[in-house]
Amino acid sequence: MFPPNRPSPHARARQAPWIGQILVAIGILASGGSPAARAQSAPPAGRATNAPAGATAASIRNWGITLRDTATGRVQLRFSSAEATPAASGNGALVPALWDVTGLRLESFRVDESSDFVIESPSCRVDVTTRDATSPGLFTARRDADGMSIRGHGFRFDGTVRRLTVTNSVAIELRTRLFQPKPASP
Amino acid sequence: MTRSAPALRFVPLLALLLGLLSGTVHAQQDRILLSATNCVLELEKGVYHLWDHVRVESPGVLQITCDDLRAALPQDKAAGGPGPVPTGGKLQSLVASGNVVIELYQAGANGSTNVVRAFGRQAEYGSREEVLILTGEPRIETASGTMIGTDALVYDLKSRTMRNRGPYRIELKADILKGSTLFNRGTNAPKAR
Repeated sequence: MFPPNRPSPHARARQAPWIGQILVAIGILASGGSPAARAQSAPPAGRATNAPAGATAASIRNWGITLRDTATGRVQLRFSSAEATPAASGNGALVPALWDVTGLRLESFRVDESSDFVIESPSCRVDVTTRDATSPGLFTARRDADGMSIRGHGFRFDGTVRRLTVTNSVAIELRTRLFQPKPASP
Repeated sequence: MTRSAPALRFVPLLALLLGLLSGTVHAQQDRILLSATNCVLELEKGVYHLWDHVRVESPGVLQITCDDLRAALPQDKAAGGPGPVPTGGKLQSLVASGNVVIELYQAGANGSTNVVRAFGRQAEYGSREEVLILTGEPRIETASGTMIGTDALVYDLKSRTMRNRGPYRIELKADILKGSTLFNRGTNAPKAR
């Protein structure tokens, strides 16, 4: 269920650059089938790695997808990573919406498109259609506005409702206080 | 130039060090650390649910351990604002349940630290009243004794006072009577010869 820590040797193998461009297009299409949905996503340039002929999937460096609100067109989520590989389904076929991502940076935006929080994970799987990111491994999250920071193992982020579920261990630091402590009495 | 001049040079340095120390203390008090095995965080709503080996630490102020914790750190929708923004990091409410143990640290005289321990099945904190409401066989232990409630014990975090809902009993430690004149008064009995 969970992605491997690193892309397979096949995925990392050599591949022609134009295949990478196709895969980026697949990523765009995966975010929605309609023309409006296609307009939601504006990925940064992806560059395919070189892979031998016959490889099932190419790794894309500097992979990224931006997801927008279908009604307003505002940026909601931005997935970016150092490298991504289309994930295979159970029968070995590639699933266009699923990506095994190395070095994920997931940024969530407020209604005014200012940055809200950022989740980072060395390795995880991203489902562009459902806007999910999952990983059994380490992750960090932070929100600069209130200084909240999270560190844990094993997470699932539901981008639709912005819910972060942690299953193995979590440590959260809040920049706040419960109450004003009373000064020491003499 | 007088001889006291070199010593005076250290005054600003001392003030700076004290200022830094004070800042560190404030920074410590302005942190809340939550840890657990599992959690679900509604990041947009500011609702956190943690369970299994939950620990809450406000360094130098308190520590809570429990089985389950729900905390609300709501996001304000400022009037006319662009969208939800954090409420200045203000924790609105906290509900701890299951084997709740709370340790409250109080600065005592001469730099000592007094610890008040509270036990119960559930503890609720509300930021409006700044009280901890302990229910489910609530018990609060201090250096001088134990307060055992039947319904609820309410600890006021601002005034550091306890009150109760329903019957309660207080068990005082015998140590607090040491040196007391309560049982050492003069009597009218004849003096021993």
